[in-house]
Amino acid sequence: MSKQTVSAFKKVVGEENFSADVFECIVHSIDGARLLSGYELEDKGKIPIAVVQPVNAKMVSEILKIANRQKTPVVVRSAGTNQIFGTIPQKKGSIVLDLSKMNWKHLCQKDGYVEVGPGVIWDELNEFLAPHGYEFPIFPGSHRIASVGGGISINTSGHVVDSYQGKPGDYVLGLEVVLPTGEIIHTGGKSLRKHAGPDLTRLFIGGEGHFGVITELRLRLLPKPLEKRWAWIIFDSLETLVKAAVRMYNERVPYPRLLEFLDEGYTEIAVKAMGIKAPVGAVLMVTTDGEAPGEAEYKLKKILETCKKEKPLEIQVLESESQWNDLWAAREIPRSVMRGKNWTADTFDPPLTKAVSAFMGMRHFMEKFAAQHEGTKSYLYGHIGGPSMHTLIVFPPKWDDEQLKRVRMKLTKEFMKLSLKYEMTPGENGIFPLRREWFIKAYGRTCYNLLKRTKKVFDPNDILSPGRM
Amino acid sequence: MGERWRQSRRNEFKEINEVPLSDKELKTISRANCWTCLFCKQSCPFFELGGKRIIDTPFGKIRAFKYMEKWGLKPNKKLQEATYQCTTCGRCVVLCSMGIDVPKMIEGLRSDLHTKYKMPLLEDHEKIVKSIQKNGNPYSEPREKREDWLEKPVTGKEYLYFVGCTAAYKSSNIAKSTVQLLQKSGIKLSTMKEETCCGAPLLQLGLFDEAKKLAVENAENMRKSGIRKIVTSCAHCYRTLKMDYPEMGLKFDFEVYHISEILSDLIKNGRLKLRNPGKKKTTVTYHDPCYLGRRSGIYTIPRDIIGSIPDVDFVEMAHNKEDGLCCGAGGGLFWTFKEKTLAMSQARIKEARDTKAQYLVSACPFCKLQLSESAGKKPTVLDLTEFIAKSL
Repeated sequence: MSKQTVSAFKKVVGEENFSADVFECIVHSIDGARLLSGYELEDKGKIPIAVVQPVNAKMVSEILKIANRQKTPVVVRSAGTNQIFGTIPQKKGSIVLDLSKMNWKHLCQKDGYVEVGPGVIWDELNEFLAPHGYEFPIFPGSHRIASVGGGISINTSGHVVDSYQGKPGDYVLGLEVVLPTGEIIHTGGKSLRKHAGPDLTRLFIGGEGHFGVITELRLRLLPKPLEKRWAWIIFDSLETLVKAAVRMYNERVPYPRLLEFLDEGYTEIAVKAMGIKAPVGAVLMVTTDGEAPGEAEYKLKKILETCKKEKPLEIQVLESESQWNDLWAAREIPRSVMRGKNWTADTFDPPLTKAVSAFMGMRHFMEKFAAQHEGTKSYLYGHIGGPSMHTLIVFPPKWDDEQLKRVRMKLTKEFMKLSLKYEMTPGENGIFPLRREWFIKAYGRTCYNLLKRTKKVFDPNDILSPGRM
Repeated sequence: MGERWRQSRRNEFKEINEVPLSDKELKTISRANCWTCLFCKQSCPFFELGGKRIIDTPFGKIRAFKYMEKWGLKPNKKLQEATYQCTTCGRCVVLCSMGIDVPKMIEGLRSDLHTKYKMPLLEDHEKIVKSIQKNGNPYSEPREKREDWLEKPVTGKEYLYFVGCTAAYKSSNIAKSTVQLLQKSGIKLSTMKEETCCGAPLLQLGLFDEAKKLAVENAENMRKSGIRKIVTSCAHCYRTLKMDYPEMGLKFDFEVYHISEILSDLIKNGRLKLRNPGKKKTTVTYHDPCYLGRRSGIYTIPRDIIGSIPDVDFVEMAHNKEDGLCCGAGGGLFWTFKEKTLAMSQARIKEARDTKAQYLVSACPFCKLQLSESAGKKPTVLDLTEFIAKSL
């Protein structure tokens, strides 16, 4: 790209919001994804040529107009905390459009919504809403660091039982979007009742940034729960635990806010790490909430009653949030500090009637894999409320980068086969950075081509995340 | 959550790896272990105040160095600036998924930059390093003026008071108050005429060999004094003498105390009696110096001392203890990037004002100077020693 183009970008955003420094370009193109070889950017040629940090939609529009004219690939990011290489440039000569400075928050309490910039961090949003008695009820596990813009673009949530409470996108009333050709459009509306019929908002929610750049979001205000209750339940095996979770759905138990599980091996490490006394088994962690006094407790009671039908080994009702936080720390710790190289593959969300067989099928596969590769360990954990599971594999420290890469690619293929076999969806991480093959196999070429053609309509020169779809 | 988290990490390392990890091994969790979770980003004051640039975060610095090595790139001005833009406050350590000791890691990056990559120091740092080597202090003050603040020489044999450069030259009221409090409680103390900079600024700038020279010199002089117990009123000196000196591999078998630890005992034993320094009820809030709190683990002692004074109401700021905000003066940044570090102290002062406290008390001369610069008239910024001296 010519020097003139670079300086044109600089002119739009101003010196303080621009950098063409090689190191800044490198670190602004890496996200939270962990490549087992230790490098996220494999190709020196793909280092972006500039980072621009616009502060309003007009700037975004100007940037995209130039990029569209010059056919400059644009990689959009805000917090950059995704773990799927979503913000890693695929083409040479791209620019990074970093939206993290667009982090305004306007509370429109009388209208029942809040308007935010895409760079607002989930926790910032909830801290802002809390004094007014509101919260945004769906958030990812990375709520401390992840941004609203990214969350809505992937339409992802982590821990909250989103199969019950909805995806974050369900709470979006309207969007301001800059199209790849530079036009600024507004979708949805200001009424709490979204209009019936075709709604372009839906295209950008979960659109993975293929169709436009979200520059403002209008989100519904929801009451912050009055109270919460917590418990953990140990089952003799993962199988019983999954049965209990499915039973909750089937018996129409009031569904909890959080429903997490750790398999037997993971639980053993977790409880030892935190010095918790518990029998050997798989642990189910529950949080309920309620807006009326006693509601959270009632929900928890119902959940525990249902769990008891599967004969758990032990039930512990926690007394305070700090106890829950300790338990949560136990959940967080093991996967982050294994001496070997560990890899959490993806999310796998089976339909209810296939849940037990899918969980057991996945476990069987993982155990077989571990048996074939000496020194490898495997665990399952995740958000059973989905119902959803993560696979965690720890590889021996002595394995070299090449070996890890080979095995990782092989495993990815196997996981795809299992996903298709058990009709499992990837509930958390988007489709196109890593799941394209799965999408084509699961939905067919017709659906895939429809998406590609839609992308072409919005982005004729393929400047937004080119090479992804 | 941090301490508990770290403790459990230690246990779980043992469980997962089936081989117990020693303290030393835990300390060697280095930049190579960063697993790119980005949790450090949101706790980093430079990221928040410095224009949301990833390169300002520990994650960014680690990655920049990694790719520099991978692709044989040359460090440039931007990387140099970023490497020094860290107050080594350690606020990110609490959230680090891998338990990387980020301040130590930063010192390592800085060291790499000028030993491996032959980058010069920043101009401001060059000046203070030269002054430390020539004058034994970073303030270009003559050695012989180090004890000018002292009204009468003290030659007790119980405690050796390690004054530190900042209290000696820039905030002598802290030094005076320390001596006053100890003498009033009947403690026999001396100071060391030959005292020289403890080496903390050099360590923080990654000049390990140069810092060790000062450590050897100080240790030698301490040994000559014949006193085994050392007390200091500076959080940076405290951490350096207590933790870094023994790690440097030199013989250092002294007991090191922060003045707050001694004062706490004196108050408990009734050797120091305190009263409300004001006429009406006094409201006080406490700012944790990063080097006393997060980096040395002392959080409750200063709070207990303040809380024990009759008619003094102790209030916490929004961010406190492990999550406390940095004043901006650590990591060698007292001498450079003034605009950005003052933005940090202003943010801290705003939190202090929100509590409506009359006094903002800290326990480190750097914090005192930095916070005073931003405080204006309200609240009154005092060191713990000054506040206690006021409460006699």
